[in-house]
Amino acid sequence: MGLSRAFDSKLASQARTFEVIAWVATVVLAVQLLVLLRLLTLIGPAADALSHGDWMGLRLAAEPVLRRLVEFLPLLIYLGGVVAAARIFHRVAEGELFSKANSNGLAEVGSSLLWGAAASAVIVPWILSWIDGEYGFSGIHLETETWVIAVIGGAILVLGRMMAQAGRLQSELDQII
Amino acid sequence: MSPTTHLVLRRQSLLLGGLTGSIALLVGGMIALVYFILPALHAGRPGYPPVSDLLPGSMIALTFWSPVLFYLAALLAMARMFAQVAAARPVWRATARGLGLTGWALMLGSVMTVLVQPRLMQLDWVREVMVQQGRHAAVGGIAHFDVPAIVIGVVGLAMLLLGGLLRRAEAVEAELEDFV
Repeated sequence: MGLSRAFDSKLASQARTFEVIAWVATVVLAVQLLVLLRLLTLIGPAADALSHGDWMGLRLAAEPVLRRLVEFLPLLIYLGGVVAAARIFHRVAEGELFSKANSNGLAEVGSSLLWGAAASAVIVPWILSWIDGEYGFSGIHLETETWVIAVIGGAILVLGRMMAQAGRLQSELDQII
Repeated sequence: MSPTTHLVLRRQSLLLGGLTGSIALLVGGMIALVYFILPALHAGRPGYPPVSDLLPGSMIALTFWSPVLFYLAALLAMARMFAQVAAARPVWRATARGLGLTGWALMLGSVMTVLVQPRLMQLDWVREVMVQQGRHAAVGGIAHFDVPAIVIGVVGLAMLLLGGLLRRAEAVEAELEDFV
C-alpha cells in the first residue's frame, strides 16, 4: 500500500493547486461576463421605471442586454464546466479519488464542453439571426478553439467511464482487504 | 476490466481517435494552406505581395498561430492515446501518459493565447512588418482574456490530474491481480 499512499499525497497537493487556479479562472470568466453584459446599464432605467412608471425606458434598455445574454450563452455553459472541474479538484484534494461523484463530475465537464462548443458554433449564430429578423440559418461558425473544446469534451466523457471502472476496481480491492 | 467494457471502450476509442486525428489534420492543414502554402505559391505574381515579403509574412503568421501549435500537439497526443487504447495496450498506462501530454499541451497553449501571444504580437519587428504590409498592428493590453482559451487551460489541468488518477488505478489493478 506504500506506493499508492505516496501517490495520494502528491495527487492531493496537485489537486489543491489546480483547485485554486480553477476558481481564479471562474472569477475571471464571471467578471468578464458581467462586464460584457453591461448589466449596470439597467440600473438607471430600472430606477426610472420604479419611481416614474416609465416602463418603456426599461424595455429599451433591457433589449440589448438580453441580446448580449444570448451572445454569451457559450460562456455561461463553459462556466458551468469550469465550476464542475473545480469541484472535482476539491474532492480529489480531500482524498476522494474514484467516487461516483467524480465520474459524474467528469460527465458534467464533458457535456458542458460539448454543449458550449455547439452553442458557439451553431445555436447562438442561428438564434441571433432570428432575433435580427433574418429568420435564416447563418451557417456554422467554427474557430480552432471550438474544435479543440468539442474534441476534449468527447474525450472527457469517455474518461468519465474509465474513472467509473477504476472506482469499481478500487471497491473490489477494498472488499478483499 | 471486464471483456465487454473493454470492447466498448476500444470501439469508442477507435471512433474518437479517428475523429481527433482528422480534426487535427483538418485544422492544421487549413492553417498551413491559407497562411503558408498559398502565399508561397502566389508570391511575386501580379496583384500579390512580392517575394521579399514572404519570409517576414510567414514569421508573423507563425507568431500569430503559435498557441494553435500547442492545441494541435494536444489533439495529436489525444489521437495517439485513443489509438493505443483501441489497440488493446495496457489501458491505464497508455491513457495516463497520453493524458499527461495532452494536459501539458493544452495548458501551455492556453498560457500562450492569454499571456504570451499578445506580447509577441506587440514586438517591434512584428509591428514594423505589419505596418509595412499595410496591416493594423496590435495595440495595447496586458493579456487577452479569451474565453475558450481559459476554459481549455482549466480542462488541461483536469486532464493532468486524471492522468495521475489513472496511474493510481493501474497500481490498484496490479495490487488486485496480486490477490487473485
